[in-house]
Amino acid sequence: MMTDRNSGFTLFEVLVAVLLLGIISSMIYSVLNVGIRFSDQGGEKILSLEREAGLLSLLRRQVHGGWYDERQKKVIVSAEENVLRIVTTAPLLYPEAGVVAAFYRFDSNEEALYYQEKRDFFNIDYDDQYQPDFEDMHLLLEDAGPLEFGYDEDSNVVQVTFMGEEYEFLPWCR
Amino acid sequence: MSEVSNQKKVKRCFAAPSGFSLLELLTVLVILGVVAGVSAPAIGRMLDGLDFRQQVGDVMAVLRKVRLDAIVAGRPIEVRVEDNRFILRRGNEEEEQMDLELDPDSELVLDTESIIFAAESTVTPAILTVTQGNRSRTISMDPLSALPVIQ
Repeated sequence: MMTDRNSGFTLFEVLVAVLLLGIISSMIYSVLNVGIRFSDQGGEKILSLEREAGLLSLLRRQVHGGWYDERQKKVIVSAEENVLRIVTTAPLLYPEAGVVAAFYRFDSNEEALYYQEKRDFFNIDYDDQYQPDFEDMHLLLEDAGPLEFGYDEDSNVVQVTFMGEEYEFLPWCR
Repeated sequence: MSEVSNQKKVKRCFAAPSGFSLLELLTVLVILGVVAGVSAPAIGRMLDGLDFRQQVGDVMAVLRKVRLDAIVAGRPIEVRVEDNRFILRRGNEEEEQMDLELDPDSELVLDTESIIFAAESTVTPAILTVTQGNRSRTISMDPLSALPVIQ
């Protein structure tokens, strides 16, 4: 039986419903946003791990493929704390060059690793004291953490301390 | 009989209105029109942005595929950019064109002559820029992972 009472919603009811809808929407959005952020962080972490593995793989290839100098009867490699120099048959920047002089230099202030390659590896300027300027180098790895290079001339072992781990690489020709 | 008729008339006069008045409808239509007018340009820009993002995503997907091809084939692949297309060269084989299906008003620029993907999952460093109107995205090739990274 119909009455004269208004059967619709009052303005107050509609406002409460809109308010509740707004609160629920913002809760759902924040939950989704957290998920998206975690997903992005996961992607960045995977890329970071790939870069770290890539650096170790590159170092291993370049040291393993160290170029043997017939005149000096040795592989041209030298290292000090923040710098590694090696003449290698495994170029990164100039794959068509065949043999290049590769230089790694770690910037301890920025904790970044820079890299440079020279095709004129026979240039006498690239001696044990040569250090390329950071401006002329490619940024290879950011947040490289503590990184140290070393070279033992007796055993020909290139030592790399990276992310708290010690790695040793040996030239194939020695 | 006349008493019943009078009761019906009274009931009809005081019953709650069952529909909307013309004024209410016009008010709602005006509000909807204003909201649509304000939001239409923003929605248009958003759709354009989505289209641009899809184009950038397509370029990145192709670069990832070339990286995998180089690793799987075990030999380097050289990539050049010509007329918004990738030109691929695998060793001594003939060059292969790869259409990126970019919009006609989009432009793809490579800062070096070519990118070389090595079989060892490395790549020569390079920066690609996709531009469409006032939108621009920069993709850098990470030499250690050979992956494209949006900057």
